[in-house]
Amino acid sequence: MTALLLTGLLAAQGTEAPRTLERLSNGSLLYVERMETADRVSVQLWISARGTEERLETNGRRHLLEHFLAKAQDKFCDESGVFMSAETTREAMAFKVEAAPQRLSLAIQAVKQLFQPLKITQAEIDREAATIRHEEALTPVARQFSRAAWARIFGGLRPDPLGDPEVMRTTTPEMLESLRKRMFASSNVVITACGSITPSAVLRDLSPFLFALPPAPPSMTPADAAVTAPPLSVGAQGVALAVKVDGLEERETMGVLALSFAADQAFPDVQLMYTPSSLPGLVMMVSSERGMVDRVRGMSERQLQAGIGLAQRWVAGIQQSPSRLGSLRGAMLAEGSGLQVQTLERSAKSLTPVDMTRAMDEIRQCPVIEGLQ
Amino acid sequence: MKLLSACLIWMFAVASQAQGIRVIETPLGTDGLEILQAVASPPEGMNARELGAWQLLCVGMLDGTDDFVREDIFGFGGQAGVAPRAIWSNDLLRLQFAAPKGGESAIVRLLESMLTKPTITDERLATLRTRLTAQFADDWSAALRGDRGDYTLPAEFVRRFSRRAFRPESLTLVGTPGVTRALKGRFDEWRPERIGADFRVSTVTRFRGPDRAKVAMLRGPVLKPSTGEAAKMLAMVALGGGKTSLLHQVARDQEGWSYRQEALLLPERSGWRPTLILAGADPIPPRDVLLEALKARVSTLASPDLDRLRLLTETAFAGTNPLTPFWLSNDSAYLGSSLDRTAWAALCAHWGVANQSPEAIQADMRRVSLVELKEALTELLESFR
Repeated sequence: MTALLLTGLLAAQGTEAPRTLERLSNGSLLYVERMETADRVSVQLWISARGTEERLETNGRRHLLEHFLAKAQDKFCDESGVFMSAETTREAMAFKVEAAPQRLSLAIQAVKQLFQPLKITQAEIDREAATIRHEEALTPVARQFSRAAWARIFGGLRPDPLGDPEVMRTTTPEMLESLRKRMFASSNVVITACGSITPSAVLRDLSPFLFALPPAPPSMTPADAAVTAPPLSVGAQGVALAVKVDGLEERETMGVLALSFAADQAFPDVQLMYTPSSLPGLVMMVSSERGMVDRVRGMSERQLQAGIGLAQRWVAGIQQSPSRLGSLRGAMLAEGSGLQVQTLERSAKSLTPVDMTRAMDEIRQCPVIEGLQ
Repeated sequence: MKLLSACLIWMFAVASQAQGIRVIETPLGTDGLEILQAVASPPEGMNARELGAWQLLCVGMLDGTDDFVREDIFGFGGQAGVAPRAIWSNDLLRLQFAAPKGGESAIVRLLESMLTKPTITDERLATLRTRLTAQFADDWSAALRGDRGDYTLPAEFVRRFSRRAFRPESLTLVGTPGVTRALKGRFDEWRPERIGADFRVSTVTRFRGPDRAKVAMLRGPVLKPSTGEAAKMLAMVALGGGKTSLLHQVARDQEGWSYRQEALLLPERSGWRPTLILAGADPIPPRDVLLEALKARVSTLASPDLDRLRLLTETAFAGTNPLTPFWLSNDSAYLGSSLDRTAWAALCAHWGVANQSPEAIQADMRRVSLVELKEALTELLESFR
């Protein structure tokens, strides 16, 4: 409440703070940032997986839930001139609503409507599970390599969020509704609103809504003890380098990212995969050409140094895009990290050739994931 | 009035340069970036060897020229924080550069070198062949890429073909004011010799993905952005322009045939190619089954649907609806950035349709009635093959 009062005071004086993080007493978080040059707004709901982390026997239920929640808003969004995308990661579920500034209130309404109880039947679950089977078939090669690398490096404790079709088929409406209630508990909820907005107005609208959310029921995460991940093979040609990194706030992580950007620029066949996270994760470089490993590990000094500028550009790109900024803050806050883009900017700007050499040491020692010959 | 002014200032031709290159100037965007778009089309009716040569040239465009290595191209061409791009299909190449103020000459020099002095050596071609024959990252992208040419070509063939493919008369340049100033005189000495067509027979194949998904594509006759085509453009929005679109509702939600389904206007040599593309785990039903299912829904469209489609069109042009049918290449949609606006202008200029700004097209589409929409939808659906 203090943050709200402070923002109101600043607004009254005509010097409204461009960004505010409000931590409500029930654990919900609300981040708002006015971006002066933005021509759009991005309102995002991030639901932490805290208390609903998946194990192999529950793998896919969060993804299934995400489909139903987003689908329920399709008509409203198309008739309101706002666009919603949704994704499920290992650590959170995200709903991102993009709109022109004059449709901000409709974007906020779409996000609020996501909190409504599910009304679905078993037949609808069966049909949506079939849709996810289609989605799985379209999984890009890089994602397949990533899935195999995660299974190899992290085991079954953090299975791929796309999920197991068998688990989805045996899910009932009641299971999904209790999962929804647990996930949408106040302490799991983060909303970000970035772009051409007036922060105080967004805070006034959303704070009371978040404040009314119920607290968290007990955790639904199964015990870790029985988890054993089966080894996964990749059903596609190619090869991948999988570099284990700590959180995004670590300087070493920024160094590895800079190197991977350099590889991406130097070699058109290289595809990158990294989900920004404050937790340990993987930076993947994937190629259908097996020679990629040697080429990346043998990059020249000049090629490597280009990565520093590319990392700075990556961060600058986040700062200029309401959607990307909202995603970064949402993902971090859902994980309990207060990492700000300004910290990333400092980190990228302070990279030196020594950091790039260290990153190359990591790349030379990291696992190589093999695809089909 | 505001709309009219936007149309008037959208683009205007500057004096055509020597050698017949079409040069069009566009205003600076709000970001102040100097932008250069170059669009070229290869000769029509290429055989598999020429198609292979075209693809080798296009895919290697940013890998270096006789003057600049790849690091230079990205270094000089990326000073504005936007990497240069070479976006290609089997009958269109678009080169895109952005520069900060003062960097116009550098990007113009890069363009000149790429078009007139591409590095074509046996070693380079070996690398490019490997890249082009590698498996695509996904089946959707591979399907959109289409036919793959014959790459068993000597360097000399590709070198000669480059003079047939890149010619002043088949080139359109669109730039912001600083860029058009920097272009003056730049191509005056460019007089590539005439090269005849190749008549040897060899076969094209298809680009390949991992072959995990089944992809179906239907294509209609090419249309150009114009007032007369507004109803068909709105029909494309009705087919794929949102999650309430006919394709999404019928193919994904009602029939369970696909996960991803879109209606795209893909740029080709002479205009947009209306394309329906669907992908899922199982084979997509035949054309007639799909089209009949879509046609059955056309008669149910009512006034509220027209309002929704107008709104979806508005959001598509504002860049807040990525399910827009308006695409600038086979891998990127028009999303309203200053780069996208110049790319749009470049395509319009290449197709010989001036003054068709996104705002003008949108205004035309707003005037389409429900009856006209239904007629256009029916006609369009029947034209898909």
